[in-house]
Amino acid sequence: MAVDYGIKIVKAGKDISTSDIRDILMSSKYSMLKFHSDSTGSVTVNAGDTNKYVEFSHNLGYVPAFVAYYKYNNQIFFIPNVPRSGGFDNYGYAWADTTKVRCGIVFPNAYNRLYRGTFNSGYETATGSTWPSGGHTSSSDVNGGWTYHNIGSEIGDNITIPQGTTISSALCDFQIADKGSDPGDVYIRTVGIDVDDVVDFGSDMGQTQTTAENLQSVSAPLGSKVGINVTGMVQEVVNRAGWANGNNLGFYIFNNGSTGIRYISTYTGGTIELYITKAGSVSTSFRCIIFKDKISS
Amino acid sequence: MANYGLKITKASKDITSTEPRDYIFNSAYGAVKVYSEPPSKAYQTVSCTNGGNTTVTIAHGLPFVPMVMWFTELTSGSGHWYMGGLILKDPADTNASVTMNGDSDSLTYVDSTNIKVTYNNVSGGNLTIKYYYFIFADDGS
Repeated sequence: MAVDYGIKIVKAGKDISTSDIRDILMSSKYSMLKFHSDSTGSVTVNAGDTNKYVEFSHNLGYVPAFVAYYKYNNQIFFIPNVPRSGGFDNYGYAWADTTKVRCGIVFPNAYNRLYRGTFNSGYETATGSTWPSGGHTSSSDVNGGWTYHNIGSEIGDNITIPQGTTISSALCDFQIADKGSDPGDVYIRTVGIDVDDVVDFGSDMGQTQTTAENLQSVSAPLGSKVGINVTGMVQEVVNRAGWANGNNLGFYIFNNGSTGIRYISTYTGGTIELYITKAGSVSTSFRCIIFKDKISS
Repeated sequence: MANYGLKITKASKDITSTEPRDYIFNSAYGAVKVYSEPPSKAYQTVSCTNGGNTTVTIAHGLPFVPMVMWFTELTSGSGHWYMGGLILKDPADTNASVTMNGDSDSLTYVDSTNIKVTYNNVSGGNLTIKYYYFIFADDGS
């Protein structure tokens, strides 16, 4: 006779010999996930952050099963949560390895980023070209040895920055496209156009109403990304009483004493991008329940 | 009135507690039962050809739609096991990965016969992907 022993508990009203496994509350024939730990942790997400995480050590020596949650804006999400195909600004993730479970939150476009957009028109002094419709090339010579190419740009409409918002950072992205044989720095002078709403200024590079300037020496090697710091300029403009959500910004970028061949060019795909991030931070908490059950060595 | 069953509380918790979290086991609440795991409780692998879908089908043998926990090493060889299989991963996992494809009901689902998980590989190369699962003897639907 086959040995048949163990512990079995069935639901009230169900027979202990039931063949429906769902009637069984507990049976020694079936294991249960075995609890190992229940931990919480939190991170502070600061302006501009794209990935913050906490790690929960488990000391099990193998990869355990787990479940994880995160809380953001007073809403608790199970990981993996499924964000909409568009229109979401963050997601949570969690993975386990042989020593820990890492739980994180990702902001694909950076936390508190108010704006990421491309310059939608511009002018270069040396070529006399306007762009994007007027033959803009992807590079601009800040000191080509023949003449100076200065750039003026008016950027995208509907910049969603309420009047008076405290700006954490604002960067214009370029790339060091050519440094010739001279490894020296690229010197750039940048000023903002200090008006409530920049309009298409055509070839006018001589506006006198400008913000405080930024003098920047870029020593990055050829091919590097250059973030021209325009934080103070953007702050100055959005602090104007007449600035309104949705207005346009504009900048002039000049050579400032670079020697030899110096090119800065658009960073991606023929566009110059502006990133604006407002100040502020948020706390995000995680909860991770780790089981002793192994899923991998 | 009948009042019987089996209760086990956490250390220092009273057996008369009305807080479910104080119980390690309580027959009044039941527990999720692991019905099956991969053979020998070892993770399984599937070869995912670049540029397409690869489907893992597991006949669970239960007469109902069960609860399932599924883990995937999304990035082959990373040692990082994600719950489920969405591509919403740690940005630090930069190497080639697969993603669970749930674009239609026919690709990733559980029904009363099978668990079907479809991985999509557009990484540029063929990948061997590890996965592990727990099938529970409890209703998932």
